[in-house]
Amino acid sequence: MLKLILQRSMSLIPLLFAVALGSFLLVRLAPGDFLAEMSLNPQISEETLVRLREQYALDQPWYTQFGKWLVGIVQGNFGYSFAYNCEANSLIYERLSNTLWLALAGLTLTLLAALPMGLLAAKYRSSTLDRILAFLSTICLSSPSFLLALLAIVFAARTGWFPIGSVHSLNFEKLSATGRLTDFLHHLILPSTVIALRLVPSFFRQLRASLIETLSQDYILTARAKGLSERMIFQKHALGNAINPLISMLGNSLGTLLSGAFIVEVIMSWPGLGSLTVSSLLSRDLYVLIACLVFAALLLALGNLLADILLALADPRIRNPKKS
Amino acid sequence: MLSVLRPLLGCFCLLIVVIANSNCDRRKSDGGRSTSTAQQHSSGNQLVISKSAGPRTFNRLISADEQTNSIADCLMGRLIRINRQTQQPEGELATAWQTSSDGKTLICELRRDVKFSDGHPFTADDVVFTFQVLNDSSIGSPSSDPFDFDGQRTKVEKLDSHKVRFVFPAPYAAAERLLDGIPILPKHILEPVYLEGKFEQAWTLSTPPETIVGLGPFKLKEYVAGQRVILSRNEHYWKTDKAGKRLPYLDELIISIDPDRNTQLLKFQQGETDLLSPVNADDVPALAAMEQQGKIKITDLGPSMIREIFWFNLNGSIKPKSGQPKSGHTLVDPVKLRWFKDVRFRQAVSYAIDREAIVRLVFSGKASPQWGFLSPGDRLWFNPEVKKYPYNLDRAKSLLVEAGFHYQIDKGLFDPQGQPVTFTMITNAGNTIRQKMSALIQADLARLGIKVNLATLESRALLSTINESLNYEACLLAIVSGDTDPTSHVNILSSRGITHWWHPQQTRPATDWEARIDDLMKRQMNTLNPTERKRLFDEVQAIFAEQQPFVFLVSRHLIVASRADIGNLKPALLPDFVLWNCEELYWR
Amino acid sequence: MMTGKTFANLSRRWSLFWGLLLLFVLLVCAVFSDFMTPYDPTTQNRELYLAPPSSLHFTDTEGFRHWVPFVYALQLVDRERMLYVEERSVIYPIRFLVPGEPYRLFGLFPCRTHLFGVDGPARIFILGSDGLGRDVFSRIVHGARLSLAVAGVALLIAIPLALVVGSVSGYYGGPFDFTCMRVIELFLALPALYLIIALRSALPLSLAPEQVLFAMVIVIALFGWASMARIVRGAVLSLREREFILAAIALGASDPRVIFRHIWPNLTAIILTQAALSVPGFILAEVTLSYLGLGVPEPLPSWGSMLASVGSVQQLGSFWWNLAPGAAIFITSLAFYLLAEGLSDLADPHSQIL
Repeated sequence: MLKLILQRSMSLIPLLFAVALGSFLLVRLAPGDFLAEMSLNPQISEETLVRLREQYALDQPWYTQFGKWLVGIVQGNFGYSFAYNCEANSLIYERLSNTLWLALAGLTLTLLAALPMGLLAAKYRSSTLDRILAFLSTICLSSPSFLLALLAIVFAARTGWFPIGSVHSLNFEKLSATGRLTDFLHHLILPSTVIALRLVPSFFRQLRASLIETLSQDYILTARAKGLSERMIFQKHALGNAINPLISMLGNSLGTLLSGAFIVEVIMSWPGLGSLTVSSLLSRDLYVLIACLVFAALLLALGNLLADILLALADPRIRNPKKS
Repeated sequence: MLSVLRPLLGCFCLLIVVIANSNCDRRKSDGGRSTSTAQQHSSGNQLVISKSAGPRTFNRLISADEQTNSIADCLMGRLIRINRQTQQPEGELATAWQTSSDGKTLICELRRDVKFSDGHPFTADDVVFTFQVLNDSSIGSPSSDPFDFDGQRTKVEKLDSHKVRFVFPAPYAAAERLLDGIPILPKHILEPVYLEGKFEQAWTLSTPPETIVGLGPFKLKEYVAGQRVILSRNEHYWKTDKAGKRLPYLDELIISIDPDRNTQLLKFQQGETDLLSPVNADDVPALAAMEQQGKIKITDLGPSMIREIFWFNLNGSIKPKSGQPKSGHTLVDPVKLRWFKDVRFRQAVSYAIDREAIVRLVFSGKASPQWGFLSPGDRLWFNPEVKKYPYNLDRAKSLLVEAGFHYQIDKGLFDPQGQPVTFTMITNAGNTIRQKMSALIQADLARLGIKVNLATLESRALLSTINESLNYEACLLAIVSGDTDPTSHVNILSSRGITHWWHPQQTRPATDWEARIDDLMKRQMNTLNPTERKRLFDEVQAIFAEQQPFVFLVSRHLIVASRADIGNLKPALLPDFVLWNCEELYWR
Repeated sequence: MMTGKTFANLSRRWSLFWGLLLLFVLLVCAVFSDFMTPYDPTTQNRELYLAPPSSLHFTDTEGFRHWVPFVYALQLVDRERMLYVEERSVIYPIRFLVPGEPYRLFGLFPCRTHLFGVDGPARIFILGSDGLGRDVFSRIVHGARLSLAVAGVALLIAIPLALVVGSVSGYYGGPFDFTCMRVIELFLALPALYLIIALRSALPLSLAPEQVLFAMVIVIALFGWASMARIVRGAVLSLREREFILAAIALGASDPRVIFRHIWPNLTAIILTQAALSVPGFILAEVTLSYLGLGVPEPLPSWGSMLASVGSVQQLGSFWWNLAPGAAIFITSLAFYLLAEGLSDLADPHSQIL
């Protein structure tokens, strides 16, 4: 087990290296750099641009630049943001925490919805309720997330029930501790709902399917034959086994949340890693962009690792692969 | 089963309670806000405005973007300010100024008893220090370029503690206008930093707010990364109103950073922000109802300085950067270059574009057709007597026939050599306005028998194409002016300029009319007589309209929305449109 | 228990039925889009922009009932508030198989006949018109062609790639498997959209819109295969341990034979289901790109650029018919998810997992 974790963690390093190198090359491959926008300003001369390029080391070949960046990484320094004129680290951490909160809230909402839905659907399998839930989940699955995000802000605009954009209200500093918490949650609820709507169907389906599969296993039949109550069967045997794949799914969906939800962040103005990635890509803010991508890749890989570990814990056949 | 569900149900209930609570709180805090704003109005309290981007630095001298400038301008004082409404210079820290008869020196009398926001007195030393930094080529301040005359820098001398003299290497008309963009820096704070060689790292976004010291009406209170900038009243600000009350009236100015324009609009509608500038034409109907209730005021300032343009690439086979002709390498297909270089082709295209349709369909009527170089909003310099190109398909066709083009039934336009006329137009991606305009132009030119392909490029890539690689055929974009003075357009108009996009950075003018514009521009720069300058610049505009190197399309109107009870609001066409007189704003 | 099973099968049959039906409608729209729509998707009616959907009438102003529905011509009366009124003096009945704007059927045969239309100067806008006065219905139907083409081409690239890499890596395991998994993870970890944006800006400008589209599809597919390959690998991994495979290996079957004859037939269900499941993803990738303005350029109608052209939330509220492309995306995704559900049952009646 420990070997698996160690092996996988070690394999993270080349992966992250490849992501960093890949994104670095990509940014360099695309024409235009951070300073291109300045050339629009008629008051800035070409000499100024050349000087600034020199200052930002944009005139050096990519490998020199990349090498320097790598040295910085080892020292825990993600480089400098041209666009914000500050260290990339502080920027990234701030946005990362916002994204993680959004992801956490989204996952919580997903579980809160998917667990009862899955349980009910498996329990009353093939009933009208099951079909309604299946239908609802198909509907959710088929709605593109930016459409949901757009509808959500139309909804917010029409009703005025929810704030739009940003993480806090303007008077956040003046609020009490509980006031701050509710203010934060109030801002969080709409974007996390949009994210949850995309995740609920897959969680629901997974849970329902694995519950049904578990319930048809021999040991459940045995348990039934022993005369155990349905409640005990559900609680003690079925749920425990069926929930494992769900937990590994949590790990897997982290990546989807971080990279896939960027359009939600952009449309709903949530200052997270996704919207930072997009803005840094559009403004060619090189080091911030790479840091964002590396962080996204890291989280995704950690999520996958977590999923694998949990899967291995649940299934001995994968834990100890037989040599054939 | 139920026991499994019970904790979940509990969670659900908890969540609902939390949501309900936050709703209640929201209502309460809203209520609180409205009563407190009512009180605020009497004592003048806080004003909130949305901006699409946050500041990149608080060091105005090294900033180069408009958003940063407009925030930094609230913190910093300058010697002379261009009154955005009259478009004329007026004294700020300089009480009087005098230009010498040869136009090479400018003497400024400085205001006395002025203090920085930390209480330190302001003297001529601060001005000299500011220009020392500005002229330092290792700093490379973007604001320094107008003070650079072919490598020679403007000198600044201290005459006494409150008098300075600027010496320009060449006569420079309207030199005092340049001082609008120069913040006066506190020598006592920044000189040690500058001597250490760390000026560029001073006053970044992570600098403690209290160490940022200026002469502006506000000082920095807090910057919340990516969310908002809070400015608070500078008690040491020098300006007073007629009653002798110290300005600014506002205690706090909050800049809320909302990159998405939907968010900006919604926040304004929900009362979270007090000013919305600029308002998109599409959004005016949504705000009209609020205006009728008397809650807000919408001001349409007419044609703005943003002019939508369209041009053909007239670059030959020589890359301006290297200056070396690359054998067999052409930037534009020579066949197409021949069309583009023909002024009748450009004029025909200009006649064939239905500008009224662009105004109506793209800008919902909130724009004006344009033919010449300047927007009618440029009150001092606009020349209304230039050649105009109202929609006229017959005129366009006859111009093309005159130039040797011919039509084939159902096949479109062909050039004298029998080549079908078609070209690709690039524009920036993700911009609804340009997308719509390009679709209209495409349909308009199809009526002329020209097939236009469209390519959208992400904006940095687009800029790199038109500035560096130069391998495109036609481009749809906009130009913006930060000032009205003719000299500020020199990078576009001069054939050596880098934004002379149709053929940038020429070593010598490629055409007679470009040579003529170069000459006129140089003459107006060295002429001190305003009437003479106007005459010279009028001719530049006339040549421009005749030759159509840029096909000007429309200038959108600048629309500003504000709460009805903001006093002294004087929206103007030059940036910052609403905050330029932030010291005077108050709540009625 | 038994009745439950049949019931479930029945419902899956129904989802297959509905999925196929929707797919059929979409395909007909895509193939015959010129015929199905009254107007060319690029025709601009500059006096009829943001016009609401035409209302069909049966009773005229004199109270006379008509058998064939008719429309009135629209007139823009208030530019500020975008108010249209119907010009009630003349009626324009809907005609079927009418001559209209010329087009080429299947891109080959010149043709003028449209399924339905009205006489000029009136226009029939089933789903209203967009900001440039183009018929939204015509654009959506033409957009279906584009979206389905994207999905089809992307599948043609992604499936073979996923099948080969997934099964070889799952079957052999070891260092090859390890490498493949890392490559797959790299692909999954690289945000595809950014690569596409970067590549899009590196593409030559003179490319025709169709070529841009094709290049984009290839990039989308190159990222779409990775997750599919991972699922294939997982399935192969568990199949390899099954008795019949072990038996085949014990009987001395060669590796390619085991893979082709024993493993791949067992993957049909997974591949078909995965294919149907990934189509909405491919379509969404194109739509998102076009929404960001980096997809298919004008004048090709793409659902994404149609949605983006609406611009503001306020306009979405006032001119709701501009949300119709969103509904089209929804219906298309729905069709493929239903298909996936039905397919998984058809191919493998024992499977419970979608």
